[in-house]
Amino acid sequence: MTRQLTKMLAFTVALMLFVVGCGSSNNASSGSNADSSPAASASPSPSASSAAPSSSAPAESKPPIKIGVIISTTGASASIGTAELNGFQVMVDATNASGGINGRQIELVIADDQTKEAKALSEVKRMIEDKDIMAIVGGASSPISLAMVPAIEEAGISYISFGGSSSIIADKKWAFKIPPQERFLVRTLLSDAQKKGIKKIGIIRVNNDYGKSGADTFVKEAPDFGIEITAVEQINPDDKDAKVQISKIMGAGVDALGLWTSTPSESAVVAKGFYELGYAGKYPIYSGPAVSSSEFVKLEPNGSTGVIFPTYKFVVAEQLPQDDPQYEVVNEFLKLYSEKYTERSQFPANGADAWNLLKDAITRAGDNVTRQTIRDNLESASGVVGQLGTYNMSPTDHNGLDESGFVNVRIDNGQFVLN
Amino acid sequence: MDKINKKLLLGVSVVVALLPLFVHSSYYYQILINIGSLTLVALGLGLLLGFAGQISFAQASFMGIGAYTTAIATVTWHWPPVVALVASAVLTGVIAFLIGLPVLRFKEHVLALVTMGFSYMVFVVLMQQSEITGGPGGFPGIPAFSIGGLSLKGDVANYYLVWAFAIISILLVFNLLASRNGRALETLRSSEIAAKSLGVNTFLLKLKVFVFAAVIAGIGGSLYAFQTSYIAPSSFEVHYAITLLTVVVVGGLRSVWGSLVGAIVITFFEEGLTNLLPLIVPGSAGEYRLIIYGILLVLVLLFMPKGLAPFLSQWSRRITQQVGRRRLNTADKG
Amino acid sequence: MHIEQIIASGLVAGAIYALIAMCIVILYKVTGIINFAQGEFVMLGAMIVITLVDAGMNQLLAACLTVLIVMIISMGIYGAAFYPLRNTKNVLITIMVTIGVGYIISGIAQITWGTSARLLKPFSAGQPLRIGSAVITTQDLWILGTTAAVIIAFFYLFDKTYFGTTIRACMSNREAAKLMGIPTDRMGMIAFVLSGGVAALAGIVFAPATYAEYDMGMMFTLKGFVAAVLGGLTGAPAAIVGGFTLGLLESFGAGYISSGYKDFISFLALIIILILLPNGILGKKTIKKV
Repeated sequence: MTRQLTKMLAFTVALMLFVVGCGSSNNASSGSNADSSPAASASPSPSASSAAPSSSAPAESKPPIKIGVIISTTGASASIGTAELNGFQVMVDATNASGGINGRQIELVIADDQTKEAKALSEVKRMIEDKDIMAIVGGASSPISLAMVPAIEEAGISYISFGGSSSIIADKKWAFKIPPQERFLVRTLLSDAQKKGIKKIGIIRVNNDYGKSGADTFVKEAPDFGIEITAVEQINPDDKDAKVQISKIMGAGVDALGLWTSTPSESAVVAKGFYELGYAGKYPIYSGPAVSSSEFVKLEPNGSTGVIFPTYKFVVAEQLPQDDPQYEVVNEFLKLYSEKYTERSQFPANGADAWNLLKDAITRAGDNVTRQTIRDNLESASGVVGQLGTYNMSPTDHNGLDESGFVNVRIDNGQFVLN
Repeated sequence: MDKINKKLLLGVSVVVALLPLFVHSSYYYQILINIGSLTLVALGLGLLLGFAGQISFAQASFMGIGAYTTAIATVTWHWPPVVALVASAVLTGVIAFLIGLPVLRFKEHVLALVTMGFSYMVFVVLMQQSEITGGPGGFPGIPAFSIGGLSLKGDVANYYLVWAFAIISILLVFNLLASRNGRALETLRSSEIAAKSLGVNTFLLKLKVFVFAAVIAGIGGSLYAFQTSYIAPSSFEVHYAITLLTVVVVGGLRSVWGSLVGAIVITFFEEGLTNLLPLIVPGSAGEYRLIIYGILLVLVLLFMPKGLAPFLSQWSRRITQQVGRRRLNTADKG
Repeated sequence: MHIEQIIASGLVAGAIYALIAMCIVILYKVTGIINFAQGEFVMLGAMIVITLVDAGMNQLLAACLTVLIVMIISMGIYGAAFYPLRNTKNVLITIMVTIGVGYIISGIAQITWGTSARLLKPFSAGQPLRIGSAVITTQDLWILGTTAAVIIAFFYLFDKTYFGTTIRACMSNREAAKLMGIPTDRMGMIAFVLSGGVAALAGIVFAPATYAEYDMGMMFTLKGFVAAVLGGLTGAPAAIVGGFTLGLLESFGAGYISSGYKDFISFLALIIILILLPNGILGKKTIKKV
């Protein structure tokens, strides 16, 4: 009996030590990580791998700067997360190709959070422990970002989030975010509606955090533009038909349909219903940025015409006037991005700006690149021209953007047209 | 409780108590806390499923109810954490009782469906009642657990907290099984009709187990809220319910240790796969993870349908028998 | 005044749920397995037909070929994962195995087809039909028509053919069927393959009305399961009743009460129906032999 007990005990202890030992040996070796794979900088697909520094680096070259990326490459936020990662990676690769920053290459450590808060939390803890990782980027949605924020604030490492919620950065020292206050986008959109004399809008929103906060903002800002929101109906992310909700709204009498969804396919489901019910072309759809992707147009070629949405200048880069302050930066990124990817949406721009900000912070840190200096430089970023506008950060504003970086786009027979 | 299990429990407690001497990484504490939490919630399910024969998808929701009760109690109403924890346990128990009354008379598939339905209903409420629950954006700012003035913040404290409850619950379950109720449960599992004919009030028994399982899950949820300080509805959905089922089935339905073994193995699978996969298949991401997880699950179920815990004890028994035999042999010759 | 649209949407969704529920019920009755991966076969049907059509194949030919391909895949899965479990009494193990198989299929789908949604053109062009406030597209008619055709085919199969009779025998009492010389194991595989094929058909006919994504299987499985149990798990008629009931419940909930609470309402209604009819709408009380 005792022997049996000893065996089981031994097994349990062995298992635990194995798990513990496995991990510490991974963390001990500097520069390599359990999820590294060679030269991933050439691979366009998102991977739980890291971009290794170029193998031709001379022996006395400076060590690479490691940046952690925790992004959803699987799960519900996969398409957005992948697009953001791609944008980020394209910019990092370009920097590395031109010699890095102050002679140091950038090495990415990428992890998939599977769109699960618990996974994001354990990944962020893992990265925090790797003392070579200087900053963390990612979190495609607000819940994922919010799950990681307590740990990064506690540990003291800069975190640049792709989530939209203001609570990610409110009263935080280490968390920053790229997406602007939702109200900038909503107000940009509403100003167009106001100009067209729209008085009543009924909204369909997707039943998740993105949809809810967008719709709430819509409702809050509309009165400023003399617009009444008659109803807010919901669809689930995997709903296949929205005709009931559309009839309910249109039947009550509105001038336009409001839409706040989080993926192209959700948007397409509504646009398709709108078209089938015969409203497309007669009534405009004022939508959130989820329709900013060419995937949306592909999925619903008929119903997508007439949809108006606010977005980043990147989406219509070629149509920008040359004297636009962001013209060069936006088109430069477009060139780099379209070398690897054909579809375009606004999300790669999030990734690109995360790099623009980090690059600025790291460059200004010179030889003293630490977690603290990166944070201080991020917070003091001033006049950094990016995809979403010009960033001017401050201790009370860890987003740093204003309304001027956004434009309204109308979809016309599959083309994105600057409005 | 028989001697082997008593010694095992002691052994596990010792390991749990001493492990922090070796573990210094916040990441690993998170893993260990996850295992403890999973063990706690799966324990109830294991009892329900393995011994009372009831398929329930509701455990994840009970965990969610516990977590949100704690969140609302501590943040919105400023209750002390201990009171919040008790409130979570009580509320979960009450809800489980009210749900159990109409629902536990259904048979297998219908019960699975109805508990799944309940799970969705809870999810919808969490998502829609945003003023109270924070809606899809989640509920941030939950304070750490504290008793009196002593605040149990940080990895080590939360680790001990979760595991203390897990071990106490395992003890409770063993005691339950050794009692009259436990023997009735045994009979219920083999044949409900036989149990009834022996005078067991099967419905009441099922209800007791259902409530017990829910209360443990509620406590698990509460501890989860204290530890992570941020909760969101999506953590307590049907997907998590399936994870719990997987833990129980892989660990072993008929064994109380099943939930512990299952929790270790499943957590190990998930974390291990994330770490190891890119080494085996460079450039791979989550897609392969899902496939391999599925393959492993199917293999374990096909070849070890009783789960791992019985398999392990069989295996260790065989080894000790062999060793014993060899000793006997040498003794003879010598 | 939009009740016509509510009914129309409810019936179309109900038709799909009915198809999937039929697959689940028939498989369950013949083998005792509840296939929690049933929805994945729906997804496979949609994805494969899109791939074939995109490659230039004629739609009708692609549809037939897809159903065939999915049936072959089902055969393979049955042999690998379910044949070894054919004698197990443990319901839970088989459910978990199907869940595992589901993960495998959707993982492979993600690798093969990526994460973006895919489009299939409607089978026939034409203006939608308008009945009152309802709009019924041509694809909706295809869905309803296909479901009706499958229902009729099943009734014919079960009632008029010898093969159907053997399946019915397996469904009502497997032991007795075995004693009568019916190869129940092979019947199990046939049922599995058949349910895979019908599921694929559901996916094919539904794809143009929606968008095919690698992870859409789970939702179909869930709805199909709900519909099947709601109906009573006794046979095809039960599945049909369950499917349409579910579709209409969801639609009415969204239309009249609240689109945010529609899942809450449909499940509440479900639970109430089951409390009143504990064996499902068409379920019969089975006598448990001691």
